[in-house]
Amino acid sequence: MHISEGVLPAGVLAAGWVILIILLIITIGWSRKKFGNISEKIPLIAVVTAAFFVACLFRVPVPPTSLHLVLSGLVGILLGPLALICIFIGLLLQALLFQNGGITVLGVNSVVMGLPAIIAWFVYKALLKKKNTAVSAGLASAFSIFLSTLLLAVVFLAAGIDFGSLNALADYASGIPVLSSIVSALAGSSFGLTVFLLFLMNLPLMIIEGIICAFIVPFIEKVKPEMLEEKIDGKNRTD
Amino acid sequence: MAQFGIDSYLYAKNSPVHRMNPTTKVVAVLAMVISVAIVKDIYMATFALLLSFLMILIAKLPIKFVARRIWSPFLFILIFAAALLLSGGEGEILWSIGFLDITKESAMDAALILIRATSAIIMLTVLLATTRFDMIVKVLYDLKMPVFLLQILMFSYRYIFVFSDELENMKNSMTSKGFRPTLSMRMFSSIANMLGMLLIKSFERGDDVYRSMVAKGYTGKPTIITKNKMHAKDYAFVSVAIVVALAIHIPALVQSGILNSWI
Repeated sequence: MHISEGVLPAGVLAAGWVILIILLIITIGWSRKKFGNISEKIPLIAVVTAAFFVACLFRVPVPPTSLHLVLSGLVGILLGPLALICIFIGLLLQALLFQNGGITVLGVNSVVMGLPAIIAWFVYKALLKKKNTAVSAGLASAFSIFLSTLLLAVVFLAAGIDFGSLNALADYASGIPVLSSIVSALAGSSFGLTVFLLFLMNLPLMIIEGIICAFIVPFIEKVKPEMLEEKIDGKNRTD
Repeated sequence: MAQFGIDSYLYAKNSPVHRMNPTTKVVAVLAMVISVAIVKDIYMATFALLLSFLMILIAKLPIKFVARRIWSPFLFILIFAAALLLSGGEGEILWSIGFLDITKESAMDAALILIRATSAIIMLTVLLATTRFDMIVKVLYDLKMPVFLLQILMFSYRYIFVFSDELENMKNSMTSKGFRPTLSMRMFSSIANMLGMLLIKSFERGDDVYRSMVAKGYTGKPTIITKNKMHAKDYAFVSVAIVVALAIHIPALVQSGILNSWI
């Protein structure tokens, strides 16, 4: 889900930073209004940030291979509006300690992963009215990966990076029944193709993340409910 | 924690790069990285790559260590460059493989991205391998990054080590109890419970630590006593770095004709 250093042109990088800073100001203000003193939330944000960081290193064995978790959906469910801050710091740490992603693309990467995390929180809360925790959490986190994929495609489009117009592939695939119809539908629109390729790449991740979050959130709800954002606005705290 | 190789400060502690004022180093390297990451001229990108190799030499970092550090991001960029190369586009065709045409333009684009990304990554690696993390945080504080964000950065940094040790222990205990990865709901549930438990344990510990720190008078300001006072030679170095960072864009600007009206 990361874009590396040196891939995007200056304009897109600058736009990423501007959008990130605007969103950070909005979400910090919003959280102040919602939670009061947000300094109290520092341990929770830091723990979730570290978890987000470690989870990105953790490989879930999916025989015959294994894949990295992203957990942006879980971050959103746990932190709500504070999720963007958490993802920004998590990606900053990854850029500093592993050169994963990068400093210049930090703005773009944070928006691509952070905005869907906040949206996942809304989706989770909306679904919670009708479905149980597991289903809501699973769908919300899968949706956040889907949204990140879409945003990533928008970034590629804005950067003018497209992976060919597919016409060559359309000729090549004309013999194969299903593939040819998909390809010919997408041929000519590079945006459709980019989305299609990224979606195909991220589909396993979407499913695995959905399943994992569908297990994690009910587990946390059972064992330590005050960690879930709903419960930490002061009402259920004993102190 | 050793398995992740975080905090690689211990290498060759005594080089001019290690001794340099942290503020100077961070500002100079950031200026270079930002500039290199967007450079459009392939010769200037190559120059930056050579410059980054020179930085490794001056910092006396073992090549093997740097290679290991940049390997995984480098692989990402390599795959990306390969995709770009194969996607073709308009232009003079160099090779044709099946339905894929490799054009001169796409080859140049792929090479440019590969070179500039690698040099930016190497420069960052040198910075981080020669500077303590708390020093970097101190510099960010001096550069007026909001204290709220820095506090989260500092806390998370500490928790990462706790977390990965904890995760390693949990993984070991699961394996010793006979856990084998199979594609089943039970495996996902085991992994999810493990991650959930990790979160909860760490949250409790983090909350305790934070409360005890506040009780002892913690206000969120970094209390590193070291003063990173910049001297004349530091300002000179930063100026040179910024001039070089700007200068590597001149060829691309000349080529695009923006400068013609001035010269």
